[in-house]
Amino acid sequence: MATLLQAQSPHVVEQTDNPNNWQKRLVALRQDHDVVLLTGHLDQLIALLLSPTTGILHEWRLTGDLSEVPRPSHFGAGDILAAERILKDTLPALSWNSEEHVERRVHGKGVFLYPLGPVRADVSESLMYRLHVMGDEIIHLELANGFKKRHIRELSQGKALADVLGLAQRVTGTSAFAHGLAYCLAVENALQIGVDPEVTLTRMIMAELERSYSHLGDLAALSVSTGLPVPQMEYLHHKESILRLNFRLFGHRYLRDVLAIGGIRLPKSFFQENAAMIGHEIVEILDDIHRIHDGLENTTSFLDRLHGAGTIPKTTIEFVRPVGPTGRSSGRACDMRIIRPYLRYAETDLAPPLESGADSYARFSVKAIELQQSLGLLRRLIGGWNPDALRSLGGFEEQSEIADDVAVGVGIVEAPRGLLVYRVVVNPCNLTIEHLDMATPSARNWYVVPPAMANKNILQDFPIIEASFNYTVAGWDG
Amino acid sequence: MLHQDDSGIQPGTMPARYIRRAMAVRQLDSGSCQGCESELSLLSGPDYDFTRYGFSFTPSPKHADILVITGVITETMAPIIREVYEQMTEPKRVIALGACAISGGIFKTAPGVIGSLSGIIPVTLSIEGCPPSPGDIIRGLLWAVDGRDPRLAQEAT
Repeated sequence: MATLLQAQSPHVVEQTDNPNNWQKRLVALRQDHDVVLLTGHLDQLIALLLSPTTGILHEWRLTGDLSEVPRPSHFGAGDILAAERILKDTLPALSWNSEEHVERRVHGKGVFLYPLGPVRADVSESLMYRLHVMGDEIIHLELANGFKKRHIRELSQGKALADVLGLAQRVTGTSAFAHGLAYCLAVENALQIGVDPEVTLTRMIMAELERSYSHLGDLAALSVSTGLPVPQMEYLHHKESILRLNFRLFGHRYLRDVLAIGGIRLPKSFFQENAAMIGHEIVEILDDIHRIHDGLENTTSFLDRLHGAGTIPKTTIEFVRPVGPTGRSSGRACDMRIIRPYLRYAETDLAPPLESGADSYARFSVKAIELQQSLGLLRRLIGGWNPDALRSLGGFEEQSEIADDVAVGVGIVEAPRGLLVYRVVVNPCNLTIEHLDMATPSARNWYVVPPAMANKNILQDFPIIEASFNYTVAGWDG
Repeated sequence: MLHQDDSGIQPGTMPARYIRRAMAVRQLDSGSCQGCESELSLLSGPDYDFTRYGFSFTPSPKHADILVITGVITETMAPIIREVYEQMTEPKRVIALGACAISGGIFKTAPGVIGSLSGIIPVTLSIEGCPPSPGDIIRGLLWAVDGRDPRLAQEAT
């Protein structure tokens, strides 16, 4: 039996009022930490750093005058490029003392600009690609995002806790549950709310269901990008099966509106299924996934297109430090379920795959194996799941015992696409959100796409490389 | 006979001239969470396979008969939506897909968000849901083409 209060790894807080000291120490800390979030509220600029070996979270603050702050990306901290741009708009007190890094322009005879977007491809999000090509070779890529900003950070200010949960679950559709979970963990951390082990187990089942269908969608997109509709159809069929399972179990195909702070919200029709039957269905999917994966691993026309395509340069890996399957396919052990176990992941024997190729094949391989591990884990979790126990559990009663003016909490989860961090400042008296910031895996990882694309690839590789990353623009634009 | 309806599909004013099958669909994301896109991409999967009704996705607005808009209408995307709509040839249909495109949903009050699609271009039909299920989307597509609910047509035969 797990303890009621989730064991939290330690959280160190330090601060300075000198911008140069802040920058120097940030660079020093980054040698054995990863910057997971850069946020600002009132007169504070806050960098959250996480040690990948110990899981200790280090909060490094700059207070007071925020004009003329050195830009961390100028000193090699590319993990927070997206946050630097967002903070420029959301934190009026802050001004960076250097210009934003401007993309190099490419000129010359035989260089053509191939604009693509924001209306592009069949079903896709709005994003502008500017491909510079010389003959067939892509020599440079610029990305322009920001067409679909919904300003979720600003929108959540002053809203009730439950309303912001609805917003968080709509940041990214195929990571809806992970966003909701990271937000719930942050609020539970801030208000010191204990969660029943039966609830954490149910949340874990939902998190793995989401990882499964998200990876299935990615693998389907990758299969069709190489002109193989058969595995695409098979992967899509299994994705649909998982989405239908979500609906049958929790009343929503994308697991929205199921989470609640301190618990879960049970749908009226909750669980009229037989747990053994569901375990059986998952085993069937798992067996078939093995078969499709083996087939692809033996299809040379598929492998030839993936090997060496879209290799991320080593300097980019060190600069951006990609997370999620992209990170794990570039030799970075960066799974938050291992580094900083949340829910009941510490009780599992999860061993995420690690590849060092950093190319499309490595990303395919990592996703395919993670999918198998997720389904295997699901089968075991559902075996020990007692959904009837959930009926008698209440959620969080709308009051807190914290006497302070503000309560700060951090929630870190491994979303299907990687590290997802939420930091909330809650007003414990009227239970509203004073400030919310998040770092999504897509916002961080999109910055590896241009260098990987302009790395000895030709235009025909473009859709394959794009599908092998498959990040969301919604998570980047926010 | 009035049809008992709980699908949340709301037909607007249908154009007088109906178009026949073999319809090209252009999807345009104007600020979605990518959930509607995920459901749309399942339409080409084996469980729904909307090509059997004559539908297909097209990358070009010039080839499109039906424009499907997902997500809230942001200020940045509004002129692009108008442009894409103008590029389409007559007769054309517009579908507002999901709560965000219909009314702005929970992002209605966000800065930089205009709100509903019907203020930008004429909407043929809206399909509710967050996100709408692929079954509802196919029903809405057929409804937008034929001018009547495919379920009613089925009952009549």
